[in-house]
Amino acid sequence: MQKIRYIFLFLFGYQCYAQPDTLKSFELIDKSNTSIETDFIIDKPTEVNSSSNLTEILSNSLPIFIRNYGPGGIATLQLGGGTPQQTQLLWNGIKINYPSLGLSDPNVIPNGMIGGIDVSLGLNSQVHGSGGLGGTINLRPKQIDKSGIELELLGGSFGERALNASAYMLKKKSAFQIGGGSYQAINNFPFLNIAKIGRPTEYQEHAKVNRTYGHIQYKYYQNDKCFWGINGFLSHNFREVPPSLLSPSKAGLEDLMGLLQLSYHREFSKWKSETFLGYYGQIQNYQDSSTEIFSETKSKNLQFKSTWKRIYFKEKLSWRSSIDAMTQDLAVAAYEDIRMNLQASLSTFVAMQWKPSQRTYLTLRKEYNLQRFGPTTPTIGHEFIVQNKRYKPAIGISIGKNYRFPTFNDLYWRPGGNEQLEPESSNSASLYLRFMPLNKLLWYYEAYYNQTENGIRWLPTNGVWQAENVELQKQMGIRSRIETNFELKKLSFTLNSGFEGLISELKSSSNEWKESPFVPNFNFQASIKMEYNRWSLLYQNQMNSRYYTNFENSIFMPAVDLHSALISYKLNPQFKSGKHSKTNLHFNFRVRNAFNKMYQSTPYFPMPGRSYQISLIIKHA
Amino acid sequence: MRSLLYIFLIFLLSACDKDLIGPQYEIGNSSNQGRIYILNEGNFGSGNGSITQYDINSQTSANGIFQAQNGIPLGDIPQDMIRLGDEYWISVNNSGKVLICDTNFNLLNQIMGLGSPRFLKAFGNKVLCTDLYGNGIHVLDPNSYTKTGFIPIADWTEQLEVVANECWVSGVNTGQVYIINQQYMLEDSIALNKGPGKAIKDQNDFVWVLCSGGYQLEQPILYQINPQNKQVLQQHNFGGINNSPGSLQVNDAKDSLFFISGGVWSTSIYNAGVFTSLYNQNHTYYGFKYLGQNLMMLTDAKNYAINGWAYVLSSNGSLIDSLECDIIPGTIFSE
Repeated sequence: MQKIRYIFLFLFGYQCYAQPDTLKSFELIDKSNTSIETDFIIDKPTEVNSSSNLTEILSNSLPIFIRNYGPGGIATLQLGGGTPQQTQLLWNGIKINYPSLGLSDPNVIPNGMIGGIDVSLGLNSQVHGSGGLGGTINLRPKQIDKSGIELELLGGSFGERALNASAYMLKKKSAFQIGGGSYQAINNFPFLNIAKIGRPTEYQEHAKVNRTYGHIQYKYYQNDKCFWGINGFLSHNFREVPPSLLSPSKAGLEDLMGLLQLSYHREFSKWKSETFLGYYGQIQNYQDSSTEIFSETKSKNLQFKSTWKRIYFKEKLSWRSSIDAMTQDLAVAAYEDIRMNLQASLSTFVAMQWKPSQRTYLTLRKEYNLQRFGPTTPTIGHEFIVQNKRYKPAIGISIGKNYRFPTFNDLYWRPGGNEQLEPESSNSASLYLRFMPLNKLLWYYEAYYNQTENGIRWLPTNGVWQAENVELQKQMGIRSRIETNFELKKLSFTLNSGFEGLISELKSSSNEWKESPFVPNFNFQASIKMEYNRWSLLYQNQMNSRYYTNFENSIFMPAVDLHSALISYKLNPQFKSGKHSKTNLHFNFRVRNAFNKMYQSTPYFPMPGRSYQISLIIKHA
Repeated sequence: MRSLLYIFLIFLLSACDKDLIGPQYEIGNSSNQGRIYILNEGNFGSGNGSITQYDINSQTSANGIFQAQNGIPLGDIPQDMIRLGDEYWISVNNSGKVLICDTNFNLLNQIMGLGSPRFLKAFGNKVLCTDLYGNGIHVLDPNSYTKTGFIPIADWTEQLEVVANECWVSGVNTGQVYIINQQYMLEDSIALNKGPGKAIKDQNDFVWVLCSGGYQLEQPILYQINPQNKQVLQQHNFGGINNSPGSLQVNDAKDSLFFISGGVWSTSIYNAGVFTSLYNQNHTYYGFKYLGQNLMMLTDAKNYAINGWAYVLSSNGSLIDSLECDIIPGTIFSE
């Protein structure tokens, strides 16, 4: 029955991009008009999830698997059946994965500045650099298109409360945004303690979260072909580590992260250039969930990226080339010294529009990292658009290579770091089919295959656990995505859905294939937004199939199916003169986990059941 | 509109799910009918250590018996297991703890914060616990389940054995065998080669210690020691540092020694320089124990990433039975 349901979801899945303020302006993203290497574009994600963290935004927008260590704990992202280390998180092009562990934690990224999210899956992630074997998620800063202020007040179950404020200023030649906020939650939610006989209901303790952040953005437009900007954020996160079901230890972890980025855009007659200089620093406490071992890491990341694009034959052919360099240094007590990493890369990207119906792209990337060169990684893709105005069908294919360098821990952790490790390298291919009937429905299917060699695994060698290249991984999957919007009398509907079904397997040396741990066979997310006059209802659903938690496939986590709803009322007061106020009020009521599902994402880290949230958003323009 | 209704119905119905929460074992429960237990280390840092139970009479086995009994995982790298009255004590190395269970593996208590505990031994009215990085031996009280003392030793301490009124502890990096007295103090030491293993008593009450050489650092050597004066009576080289013998065992009559070095070997205590190969199928042999009644058990860690196996052998090296364990089967405990 469950399989039939998944087939249904793949073929007829539904879902929506909800934008409460701008439903009428909602337009399907016609991929034939966008850059070919971006798979998903989530615009204005915080319009509907203003009080959510990035984890919630992503899980409500993509068929992504997020391994969550409980509210307040870390969360890791997994795209395309890869490991968390094979999913790269970027802030406007800057890598913000932890240099030590190689993974990223979306729970600690402030969302006040996020204006859009670009998701590149598999091979397409090459455009952002190496490492994203599963995919890459690039967070873009907000576009400032008006002057005004925004204030949000929020309260909810389990001691949740938040205050967010932003001010925007738009002048003829400059745009400015400043904002900040704080978020607290006690997280004293009830859960079933499955570690005890009879599974008694207990209350989570010592799981408090406290986040404060500030962000700033400034853009100066010299003229319509030249502008420069600066943006940055500073975020402080404190979270208590609950005793969990495994350990009675109580501790608090504190992270501080800051980012500052300078950007310069310039257009010449035939050239367009974009140059970024970014600094990303982080002080992070990390506690291993199993071993309860603490490590404090201090990392600094300085990254330079310059991309040049030239247009030929009235945009029939474009050539884009980029050079980027990055230095990272990392201090971890266990390394006993500071480790440096210098990485430089040169890549070139050629996109050709042969005819109105055909376009091709080719990328080549070469990187230098840690005193060694990575392999040259080519990617080639071709898209054929059938000339049918009614359905706008298109078929595309891509094939290429990618790779990921080992993390600092893999190389230097004591004991067991292995400086002789080779990068993980993958070969991938994908085939997709896209329809856009009547410009009202986007229907997208993709099949892909990925094989990764030299997968890095920690194994006991001569009595000491050591990182080694032993693993062979493969992922075979299908993805579908459907988006639409329509009106029925006075009701407006906006729907979209994303589905991914895959088999992700791995094996070491001469042994049999096993399913990759923590990779569900199916991920699905969907939402429907209905609007009537000033009211709107947003219904969201996300689910994943069961997944194994060990390499032997003997222990599994059951499937999870979560539902949530958001009811909004928008008020724009009217004066006696008939004019409307410049102030908009939004009242929101949200129910998360509406069916009170008791579940865990990571074994023995309980997640909360049903919870409620109310918020008031004041917008003055 | 009707199709929308159908879609809603599907998703509302889907919310009525079965009540499974948290990790579930794919395989069956323990039957608690065996007397041989194999500690599977699991993947480092993954917390997926487990215990395999094997019934030598019915030749049946069950994996994951601790988790099946308690609903929580054993921890990261279970290292050693002893019996103390009606309790099993299990050291879990990378979780820094010692678990105390009843003989049905119901968790009774745990002692936390031990750093990197390795091997356990009841000595006097305490339990001694060696440590990989702790530079000493923990003294644990079996009544209060607390750590009540610590014996400082600047070394990676490993195997323990009670010899007369002393506890002999192997020091892996220095090649010393440390002698702990009944006052739980370091009293003496015996200098051997790197990587000494467990002290084994023979039928003449002499003690045998097999030094691995410390992973190709020194010559592996088998020593015979007089426990009275701590003098080395005889020593036998293994002919090269590439050998890495370990897991020395003795038979019921205590006149034959067994060990693993790429396979299972034996030697007589009266002709100790002559080593006889008993069993070798070119596997990754990791744990080894003489079970008694002319039976031995040998574990195969395969490539350390997939499920390992255990083999039951007769004392002449013939294969009697084999069973699949979890990842990296290591220490074997038998009643």
